[in-house]
Formats: sequence, C-alpha cells, structure tokens
Amino acid sequence: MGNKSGENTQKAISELEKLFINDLIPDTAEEARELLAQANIDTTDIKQRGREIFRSILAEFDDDWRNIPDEEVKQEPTHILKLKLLESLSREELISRIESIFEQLAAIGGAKAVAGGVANRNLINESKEDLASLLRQLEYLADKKDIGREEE
Amino acid sequence: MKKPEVLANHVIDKLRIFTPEDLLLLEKIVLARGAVVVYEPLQGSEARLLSIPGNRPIITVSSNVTYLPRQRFSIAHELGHLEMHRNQLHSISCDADSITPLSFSKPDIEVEANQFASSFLLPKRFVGHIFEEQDPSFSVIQEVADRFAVSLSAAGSRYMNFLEEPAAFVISKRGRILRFVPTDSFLKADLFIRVNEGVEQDSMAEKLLRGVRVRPGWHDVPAEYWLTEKNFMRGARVKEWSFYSERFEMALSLIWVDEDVVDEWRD
Repeated sequence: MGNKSGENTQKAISELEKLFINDLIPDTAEEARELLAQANIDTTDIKQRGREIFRSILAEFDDDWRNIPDEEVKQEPTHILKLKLLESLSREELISRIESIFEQLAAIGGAKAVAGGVANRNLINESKEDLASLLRQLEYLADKKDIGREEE
Repeated sequence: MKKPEVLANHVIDKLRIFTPEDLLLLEKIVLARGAVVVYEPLQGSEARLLSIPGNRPIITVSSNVTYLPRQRFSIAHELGHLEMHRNQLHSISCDADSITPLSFSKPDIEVEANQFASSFLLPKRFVGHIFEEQDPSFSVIQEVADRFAVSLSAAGSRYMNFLEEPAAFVISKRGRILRFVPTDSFLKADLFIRVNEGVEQDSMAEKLLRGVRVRPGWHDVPAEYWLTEKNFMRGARVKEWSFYSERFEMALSLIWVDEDVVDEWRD
C-alpha cells in the first residue's frame, strides 16, 4: 500500500506539473493572478482539470469510498428486503415486538435502554405497513447479533 | 455558520469530497459513513432513520417517491439526523412536511436535518462562486439544480444564503402562497412575504398557475402583490421571476426588491 501510495503521489505531481508547463512560478498570490491573466489562462478551468486529475488518481485506490462496488452498496439492503414482512401481526403486536428488539439491541450496544415511546419518535403514529417494515429491519439487526426472534 | 453547515462541511472534508460529481454518489457516501440505504414503500413517511449504537444504522427511503432529487434530499436529511445525533438510540420517521429545503425558522431537529441536507448537497465550496458571480436570476437556480441533482426548491432556497440583495424564494400552489425563504438583507429590511394568502391576480405566478404562458425573466409588478407591508411608496414595484413546476403543480418565484419600496414617513 505504501509503495502504491508513493507512486500515486508521484503521478499526481507529474500531472500537476503538466498544467504548469510554462514554468509559471510566482512568489505571491497576486503575482500568480497577474501571470495567469496575462497568459489568458482560465483559473476555473485549471481548478476543474485539477479536480478531474485527482479524481482519476483516487479511482486507483482500493480503499477509497468512491470505489466501493455497487454490489457492496446493495448487499445489506437486499438481505433486509428478503426477510419476511410480518404484515399479519396486529399493530399492538408489531409495536410490542419492535420495543422488545429495540431494547435488547440497545442493551447489547451499550446504549441506555429508553422506553420505546421515547426512543421511537412517532411510533404510535406509524402506519401498520411501516411498523412491519421497521420490525423487519430490527429483526435483521437482531439476527446479526444472534438475538433469537419470536416465531409468527 | 450554523451548526448543521459546520457538520456538513466536516463530513465533506472527512470524505475528501472535492468535486460536485462525488456528491452524486450519495449511497456510497452513506455507506462510507457507516450506514446503508434501503428503498421500500413507506406509507406514512418519506424517509426513516433507524440508529442503535453498536449496529449499522439504516436509512429507509420510500420507493413511493420516485423523483430522484427528492430521494436525494431525503437521504441527506436522514444522514443529517445520523451525523448530528451519532451514538444515540432512535428510529425517526420523517414525513413530507418535515423534509423540506424551505424552512428557515423553528430551530428543531427536523429543521437542522434540512439545513444539513442543503449544506451537504449544495456546499458553499462548490456553489458559492456560481451563486455569487451572477446577477440575481432564476437561471442560476436551474443551473445549480441540474448540476447537483437537487430540486429547484432546494437550489432556490440555498440560493437565498448567498444572495446579498433583498430577495425571497417563494412557493405557491393551488392559488395560495405556501412558503418562502428570504435573504438576510430581505429580513433586515423588515420585509415579509404574504404567506398563507392568495396569489395576487396578474402576478406572474398566478398566471402560470392558471396555465397562462409567461416570458421567462424579470417582470416588474406592484410591491403589494408579494409583500405584506402596507406603507408602500406610491408606485412601488418589485421584480418577479416565476417558474411553473408541472411535476408538483406549483409556482416557484424569485422576488427581488431592487429599490426602496417602503415610505417610512407614512402612517
């Protein structure tokens, strides 16, 4: 990684040097602006080109977030949506299960257990479908923490 | 600078976002910040954040909302909740009224999340020069909305943070003025838009809402069409540039008070 990073830095420097091919080496910002104006150089264009170069260099870094594969972005959402939506439960059952899992997960995560009504702002106002969707997501998180789920 | 904007800039710095194009990768940004985005058909809300310490936070966006700029604003809004209240336990459901770029009062967590979303999707470092280097116009709002994949409402509201002139960005629908976002100088001049009142007949916005075609550009209209002030100078006028959004069936207006309109000596 170190060598790769060094190579990339070198590449960035050489690409930037190409932008200043006329050896414009001013001492002050004012001098730089004057030189650029004299040479009829569009600074906005330089900025844009500089950004594009850095962007293309970053594309070579495996650990940069820009290079996360699309499949990885979709991975967890796909798992969540594959889980069964417990729409047959009543509102009360949904809320009860939500509060139960919420508190168990909170306890594992070290968060102070907060009464469901406070932690889940608007929970009472949620539609039944939205409660089922919330429960499904909580069950997904619970599965990952090996918290047993109740059978329907 | 307000706290949500400071935080939005912090996230942008942390992720080394240095081109507007990076901001289009919103789901990757969310993942880089430790959360995931799920799309499913929510009924009562447009977006939700589920955050439990020790677990990956989940941002849910309603797939019933198909307008991409709206989805992006919702994701950024929930990211704002997450960034502002990290390591806190919550499930926050946000409806259409909570997620709006058109809020400048009521400092509550929803307004803060909206301010975060505006500052994050339209950061000063990218939009500042676009907004500041041009004369006031609706065209600059359209240019920014297109380039940054945000709605005209989001771009217009954000524009008001940069415009030095006394101006306001106004939304009207079904014949009524719904909301507005003013510039600082508009507020300092004690001006106020006739919000919750009917759109004045013969204003450009009213014509557009009626389906009448209007030439795009500035139109001089009587000041009382838009402002609540009663002590107007005789013949006081403001500039109006309105645009009709077919998708949302509403008029978006830029109102620019480019001359003194109030007679301070009148009773």
